[in-house]
Amino acid sequence: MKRTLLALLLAVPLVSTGGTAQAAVTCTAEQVTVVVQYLGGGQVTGCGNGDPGTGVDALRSAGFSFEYSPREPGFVCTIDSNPGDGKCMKPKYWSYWHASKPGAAWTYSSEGAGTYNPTPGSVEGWRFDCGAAPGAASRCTTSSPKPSPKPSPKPSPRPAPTPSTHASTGSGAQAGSGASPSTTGKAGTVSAKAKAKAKAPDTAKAKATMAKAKATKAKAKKKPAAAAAVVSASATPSQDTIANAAASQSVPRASEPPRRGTLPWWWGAIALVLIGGTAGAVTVVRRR
Amino acid sequence: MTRDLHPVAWWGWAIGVALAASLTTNPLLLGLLFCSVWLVVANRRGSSPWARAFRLYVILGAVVIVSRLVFYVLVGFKFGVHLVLRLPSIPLPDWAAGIQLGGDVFLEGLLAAACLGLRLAVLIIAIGAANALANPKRLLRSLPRALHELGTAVVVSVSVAPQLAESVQRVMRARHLRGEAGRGLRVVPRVALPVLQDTLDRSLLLASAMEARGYGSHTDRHRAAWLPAVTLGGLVAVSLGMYGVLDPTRSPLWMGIPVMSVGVSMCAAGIWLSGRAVLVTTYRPDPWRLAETLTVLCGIGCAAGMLWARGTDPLSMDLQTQPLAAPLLPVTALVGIVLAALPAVITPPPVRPYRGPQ
Repeated sequence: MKRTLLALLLAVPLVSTGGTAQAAVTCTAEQVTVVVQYLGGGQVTGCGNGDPGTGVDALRSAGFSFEYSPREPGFVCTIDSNPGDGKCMKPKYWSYWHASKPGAAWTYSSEGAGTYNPTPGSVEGWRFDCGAAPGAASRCTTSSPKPSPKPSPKPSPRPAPTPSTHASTGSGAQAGSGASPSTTGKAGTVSAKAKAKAKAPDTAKAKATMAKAKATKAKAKKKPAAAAAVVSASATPSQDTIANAAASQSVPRASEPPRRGTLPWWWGAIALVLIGGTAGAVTVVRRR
Repeated sequence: MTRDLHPVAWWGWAIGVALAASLTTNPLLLGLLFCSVWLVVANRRGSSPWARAFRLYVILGAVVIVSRLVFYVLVGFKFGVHLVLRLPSIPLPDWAAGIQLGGDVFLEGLLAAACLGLRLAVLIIAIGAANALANPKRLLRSLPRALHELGTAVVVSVSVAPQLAESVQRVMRARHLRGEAGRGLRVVPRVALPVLQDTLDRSLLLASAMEARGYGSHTDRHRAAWLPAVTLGGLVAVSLGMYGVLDPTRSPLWMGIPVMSVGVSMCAAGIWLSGRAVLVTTYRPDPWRLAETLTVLCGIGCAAGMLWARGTDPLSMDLQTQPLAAPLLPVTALVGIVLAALPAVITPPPVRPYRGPQ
């Protein structure tokens, strides 16, 4: 959110200079189209079901997982565990864009995704770059120190473009081919995915965090949607796809047992009692 | 052997600890850092008035955490899944977009806000520890000689408040000895004049004592008129260079490091040249011995341990809230914290006032 404001203050053009909201999947007018472009150009489109209350709700509802930065809560740091190294502030960050309808020009969001309420039928864009819109040319300058061109294993992390998960891609996007399908003028993999309503409870079950989702979301899931047929035509990321995506990134998670070089929390508690107790004792003795 | 440690050593140690605190939001590490600082202050502070100020800094830290939490509940960005407090959200007009007034409070967001507040609190407490441990008057003596007159003025102004408090105490004691009753606001007019007179008398006494010792006397060597221009030009160059270093994408390449280094060397030359014109005696010099070096190294080691942990395992240095997990304890960071606590024992104990035969 802070970054959004900062970018605004620095007079980033409000309307993107290149790239319009081209979605590889057609969502219905009741849905919010979510376009996510990873580092390296891989662009994924999903449909947010129901009427998501916030931008992050739309992102989650479209089948993407995201995390806030631990040091700046509210600042979206990773989408589908991307970037894997956790460097999500400088110079590259997840910029957040809106477009009124598919095909319209991108507008840089003047509000954080945690509070912005997207209207159904509009398009939400996420791009991991130095402030470029999805589909536009990268804004990262070469003079700035950035690790971008280096990572040789393509950092587009989504194993989505494997034939198994997206076998039934309805949009005709050939996953993993590298060829640009019709609409986006961007080299890179374009895969289509959308979350079918029927799958939603599974996904929610798969993630402990999502189990206690907000009431509005739960309502949206339970409600059978008219658009189910359209959505199911496109590919659905099943829960193991998401699990694969997380595993292939090998992002160390805090929920895992302690890794090498770290001790469990109760070691810290013992040390806290030892040092703190000594300090307290010294203070009491010195006062007398 | 008891002696006061060089004030610059305490400040070096404290800045290292503050840097280490700024690198983490892990509540375990921050708590351990606070305990280390507390241990050092408890064991090595003197009996001066400013040594008792540490408690005030701890209170200030607590205020920082509490106000951080209050502001989080009022206007913070709420996220998480474990509901703690149900609050109504007040809608705001479009021009205030992005600010969330009220709203349901979740445990994850609350803990993240508390840890951010704790980080700032530990930072403040580390600087407070340096204030409690280092004698400010002797620290000012370590200033470059060019800033000598400025330092003298600062020392005089720094000692005004304690002197005023002491004057008030003396006058009140004298009144009580004379059997004059009365407390509170009614006494102020009767106490104010004697206090002012006492302070003025003591200031005149101090001034004459300083004059007798050669303070404020002018040396025969006159300063070159172009010296201030060198220092000023250096400062301007440093500002320009700083701009270039901080934003390398939008400024020409020469504006970064080259201009910066020219500015720094101009400043250093200006201070050194104008310092040559000032003569000061070195009465009671502050020695820099092994304990001072070790103390500074402890501060650097603490920051280095945290930096190392941040480089190898950045996730263990922050409280994980998505999902919520118990904080981990990186070993290198723990080593750094133990280093930060070491000055409690490796430094010589401070000089204590004589309290009569035991």
